Amino acid sequence: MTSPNSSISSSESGVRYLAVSLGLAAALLGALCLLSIKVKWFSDLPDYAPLLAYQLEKLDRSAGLDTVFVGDSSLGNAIDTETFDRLTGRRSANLALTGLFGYAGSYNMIRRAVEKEPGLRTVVVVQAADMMSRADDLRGYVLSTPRVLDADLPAALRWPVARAWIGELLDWQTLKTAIRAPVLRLLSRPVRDIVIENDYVKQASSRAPFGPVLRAEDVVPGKLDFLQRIAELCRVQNLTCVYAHGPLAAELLDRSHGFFQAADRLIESTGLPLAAPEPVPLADSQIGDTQNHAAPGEKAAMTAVYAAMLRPFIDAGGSKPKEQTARTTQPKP
Amino acid sequence: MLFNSPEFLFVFLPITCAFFFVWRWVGLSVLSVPVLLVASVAFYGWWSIEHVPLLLGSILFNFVVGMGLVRRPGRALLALGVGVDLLLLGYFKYAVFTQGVVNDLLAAQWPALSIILPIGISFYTFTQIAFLVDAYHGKVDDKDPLAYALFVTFFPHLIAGPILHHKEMTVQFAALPRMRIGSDDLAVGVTMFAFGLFKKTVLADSLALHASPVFEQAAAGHAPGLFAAWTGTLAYTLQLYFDFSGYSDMAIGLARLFGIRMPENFNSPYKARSIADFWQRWHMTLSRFLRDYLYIPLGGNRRGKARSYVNAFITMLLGGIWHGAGWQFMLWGALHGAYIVVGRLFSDWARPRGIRLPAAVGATLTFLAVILAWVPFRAPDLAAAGSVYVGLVGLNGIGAPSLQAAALIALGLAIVWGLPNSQQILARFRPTLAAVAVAPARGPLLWRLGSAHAVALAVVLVAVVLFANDVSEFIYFQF
Repeated sequence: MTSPNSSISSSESGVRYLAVSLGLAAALLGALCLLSIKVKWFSDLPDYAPLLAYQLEKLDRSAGLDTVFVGDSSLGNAIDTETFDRLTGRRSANLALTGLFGYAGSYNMIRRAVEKEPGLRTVVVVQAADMMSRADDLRGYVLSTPRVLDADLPAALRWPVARAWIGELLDWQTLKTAIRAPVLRLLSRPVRDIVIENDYVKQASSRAPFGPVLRAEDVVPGKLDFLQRIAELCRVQNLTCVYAHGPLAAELLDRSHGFFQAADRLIESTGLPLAAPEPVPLADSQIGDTQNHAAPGEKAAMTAVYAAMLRPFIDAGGSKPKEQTARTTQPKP
Repeated sequence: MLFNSPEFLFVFLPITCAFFFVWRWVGLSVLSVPVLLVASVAFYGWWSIEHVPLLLGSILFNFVVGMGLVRRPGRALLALGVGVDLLLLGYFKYAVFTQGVVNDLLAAQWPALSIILPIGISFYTFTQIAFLVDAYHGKVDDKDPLAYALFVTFFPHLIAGPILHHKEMTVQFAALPRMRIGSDDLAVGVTMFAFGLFKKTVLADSLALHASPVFEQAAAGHAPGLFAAWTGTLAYTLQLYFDFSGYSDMAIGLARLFGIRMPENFNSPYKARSIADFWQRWHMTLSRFLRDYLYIPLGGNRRGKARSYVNAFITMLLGGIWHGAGWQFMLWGALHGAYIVVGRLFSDWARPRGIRLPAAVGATLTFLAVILAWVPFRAPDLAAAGSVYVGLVGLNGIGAPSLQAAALIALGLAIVWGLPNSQQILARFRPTLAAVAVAPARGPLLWRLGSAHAVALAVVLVAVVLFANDVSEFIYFQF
């Protein structure tokens, strides 16, 4: 069976060729999917795994929490819950992940906290000041979701999330991770350079160069999907939820006001109130290993700043959790 | 819907193939052309539904004018047809740029036009202008409107070429209902498509990570140092080739799935030994169009040497402008025009004296000239191009080399210089309507439909899937 103008010899079989190549490719990709599941969800090999496991274990062990902080490394390096609880009289947990997880990771951590802690009253979302300029966080969703088949997702997000699942399962980095780990162990070298210290990942010894100044046009459209999910969850669960920008180097903040005006408009459009219109400025001596990280020695002081900033929301949360009025408002058009 | 997107690979293509082959299976081969036509219009509509009427209107207009020219060839009708096509292209593609230039020259404050460029308009306008010119010259025999509509819209080439000639396609479409399409056609089509996908997702997109930052930073005012400028320029040189030739391979492979052969579009262009040779190997269907419908009508070589130089320069300049509305594209076209003129001057001087450049010298000079011309082609504006040029001669400092980028560029150069191209690898199956016979690859690189090459194809497919996580557009979609 060939086209009339074909020069293909009849001894070669297109059917067998296609069957072998497509079948073998499918088998190899299937094996990679299984390896991805093992490495990403059932091992501590990926860089994000120890922190995710640490925060999930913290949630498992907790009892009687009334406040949770969710967000990324800007939160992990800024809020010390012992100090916060002492200043506010709350029982809180800091469930900070990393920027990789984005708003989607925060959404998933809130869902986990709601399921675990019936007395939860207040949720504080603290994300890096530039989070609204970063690309989508579907990868963070896939890696932290409590459910594979998630009925809570709106229809518009199902196809993008399905693509993100496919991307995670067919990720060649998995191969790299799976091969690299035993080699490093053989060489008696650490598989990862991540150490949990002071309730979060230990900071690097040197400061990374600052990123560019943030401009209003840097705000990524469509970044709101999971913030809207968070706001909706807060309304349904009658939680007081508030958004606070993570701290930012004062040098950058001074030249980025337009960005925060644009970002705040979008954040508030979801119905989440803002604790403050702009990030807490970090003086040079207060900056840790990146522009978004408070130095380790500044964590308690930074917590005090945030506690004061969040005071109206803590007070509004009241002492009768089941009768309170949700602090989240209806979404603005 | 990109060829490398899951929507295309797992939804559109299987559905189209299913419809196409089911009708043939039940003996309704006559529906082959309508099925492909509907699929092609749907493919375009997925991109931009609002521009479907423009596409269909353009097809109807050109077909009517073309049939009029077949019946009674006349300059006025030809001028009307070509004029309307060029007006449409000019409005959508050049009005914003022209208005900006006028605003600058007259210091006027006219509000900026907001015109969305219909995707593929440059390609479908050119194919149809060629059709009108051929109709005028009495070279059009086929009068089937469906075959004509499919020739323009056939989804493998609609968005970014190859620029097809009606004569080579309508004959095949007319024969499609009677044509036997075998499993070997499918095997060759899948293999060619996979080669193209590999070039795009594994090679081009990896190189882009080293090319794009250099040009973007140059546009933002950060002048690249020597290493960065060369890294960015070389990486882009290779990225563009793998991206566009990969797209062309995919188009050729897709067409073959339906038993259709397309003209080849690339023939190892970076192995060229002169600029003229380069243009016989790079975007060959555009070169053919520019030669047949611009250079020759301008007079070609028929009016003396001096005039042929001018014609060549004008042709390349207009070829540059066809790529986009911007000074940088004009500079790119002018550079290539100048290269061709210098090449011919040298040839005219050297040949009577028996002087011939050694092949390696010719190839090196050609490659250098080509990569220098890619700088304005890639740069967002002339200032950025200037900044990269300054970096290339080391006047922005030296900087530090990136070993990863160097390794990737070395791999890319080894492929383009050391390996046969897709057509040569699949030469046994005549994958294209090759105008020039290509030398088949030798040894194991000459593909067979056997077990060893089936395993190799599986590896290519796995690599493609693993690298295809972030679907990115093809560079030539913007033109």
